Amino acid sequence: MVRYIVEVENLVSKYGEKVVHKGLNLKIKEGELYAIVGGSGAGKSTLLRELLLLRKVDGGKILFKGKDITKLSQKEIDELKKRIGVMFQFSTMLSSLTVGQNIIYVIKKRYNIDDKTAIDMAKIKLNLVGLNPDVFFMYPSELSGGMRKKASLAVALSTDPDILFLDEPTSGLDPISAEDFDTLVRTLVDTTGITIVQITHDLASLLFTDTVAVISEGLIVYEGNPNGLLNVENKWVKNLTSTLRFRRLLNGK
Amino acid sequence: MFLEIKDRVLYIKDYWTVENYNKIKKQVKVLSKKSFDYVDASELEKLDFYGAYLINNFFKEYEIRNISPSYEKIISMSKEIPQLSKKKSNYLSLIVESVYKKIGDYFQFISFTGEILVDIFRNIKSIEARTLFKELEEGGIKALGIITILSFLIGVVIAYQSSKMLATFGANIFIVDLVSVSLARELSPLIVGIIMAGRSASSFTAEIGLMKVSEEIDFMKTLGISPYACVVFPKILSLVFWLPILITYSLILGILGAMIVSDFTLGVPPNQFFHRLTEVLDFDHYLAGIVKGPIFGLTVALIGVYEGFKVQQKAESVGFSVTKSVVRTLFAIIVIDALFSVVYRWLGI
Repeated sequence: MVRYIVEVENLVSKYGEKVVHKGLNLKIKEGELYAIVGGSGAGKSTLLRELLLLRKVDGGKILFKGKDITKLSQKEIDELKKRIGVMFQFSTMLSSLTVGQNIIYVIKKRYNIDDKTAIDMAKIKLNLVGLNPDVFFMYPSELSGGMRKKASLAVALSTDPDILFLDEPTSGLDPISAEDFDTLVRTLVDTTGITIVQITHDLASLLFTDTVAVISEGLIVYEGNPNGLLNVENKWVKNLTSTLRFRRLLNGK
Repeated sequence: MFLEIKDRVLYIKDYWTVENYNKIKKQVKVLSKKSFDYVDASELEKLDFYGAYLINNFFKEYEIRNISPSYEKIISMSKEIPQLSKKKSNYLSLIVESVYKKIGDYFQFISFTGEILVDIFRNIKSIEARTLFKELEEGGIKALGIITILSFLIGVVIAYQSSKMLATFGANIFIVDLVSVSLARELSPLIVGIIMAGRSASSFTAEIGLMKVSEEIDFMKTLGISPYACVVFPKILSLVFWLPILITYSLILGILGAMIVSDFTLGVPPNQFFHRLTEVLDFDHYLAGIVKGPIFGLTVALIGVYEGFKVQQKAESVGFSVTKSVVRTLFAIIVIDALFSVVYRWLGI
């Protein structure tokens, strides 16, 4: 039986008069790599903010492991937040702490784990994302873009969350680093069974995913295998798939 | 229960995850290691890195049977804990290093000043009147409000504090000497200098720092526009122009505040106050204060701008630089003020 970790039903979001989501539905399976794509201003970031409980929904339901998150008590919300990892677009970390301290802080704050384990776990996570252990003592401002992304991923993974949200993880990376990052994400999903949801503009990243959801005009117009995008009857998707970049990628595959 | 021993086999079961880490650790610690021969993971519901870390730490020497391949992979991934090598530093070298860095910073500041001056003279024609007027408005006119209130209050406070003592000696009229000379020579320049350090130095650093982060400075350079002449020079000029005027303004308001207080607490009416003022406040005193104006203005502008240009290409460093520029400007102004006192004493002014 397929278990869904996140289910969004008839989601409606508005900014004043402007309606962003007009009854949007999507389902994210446990342990899959899920991508959300859409044009600029399609409401991807709004959706992410709603999934992260940073914004109240104006209608519809968001179910996390079968529970409606709009109806949770504050205590349940706090518990739920511990199970969610997130990496924002500009790889945000606490700038006054070193990378190591960032990871240790999150671990101790969330689960009150002893110092030695927290330090070892920080080293393990840095190793896992492929960073040199020296990064442990470095401040986020001392890192290059690619290292910063990886460090931020290590922070997001610090307490082994059930679901990880990545907002445009490969933006600003060179193609080789971007490919490394995509491979890393894929490996994480395959080995640890974590669910990863990424919002992306990077067409090459889509080929690594299990499911792609396309947001257009406030609705999900397609949800399924990335290869199925070619047969979708939607203007935006047609435009996307007819781009030269997309064609070349498919041919290359 | 996360552990169970049956027929000398340790069954690990349930969720070996971060939520249960502390509970599992407690159970594992009291386990007698001789009571089982191997570990069986067939009843394990879920394993994450924390569970794997426990297995690596406590069951290292045991064989683990019936474990799913993905769990096995997690265990092997968390086995490798890299060693951290922290640089050991001794205190002497740290002190020497920081002193060396401080001295280097002063030399850098001097060379920066030289660079700016040369560049400004070379590009004097490209300075725009529009930016100059904008800076003149920002640097002076917008500062009038705060200077009005603070200068007035300083005058009130000095008069108020000294009134009691002067009244005891019956030296009521000498309030004028005390207030006017101290304001003219020391307090007005200092107050204006400090306000400018807080207002202008910080805003210069932030403005130029952000221009550096957003690569606007580099963009100007590639277009052949000199950022020193176009951005920095109007700022320097504005402060050098305004500070003497602002000091005069501050002096007038301070004396006004003292005049009002004297009338109420010492019974010195304004006409007497004014008469005495014309007798004691020589032009020399006024000049001794006003001369500090352009120098304070130059100091504030140069340090503010210098710290702005020192910003690295990261947004975080703007905040540090702004704090640094305010602290350094305040420091510089007070040191320069002290130097002036020494020089005046020496010259007998």
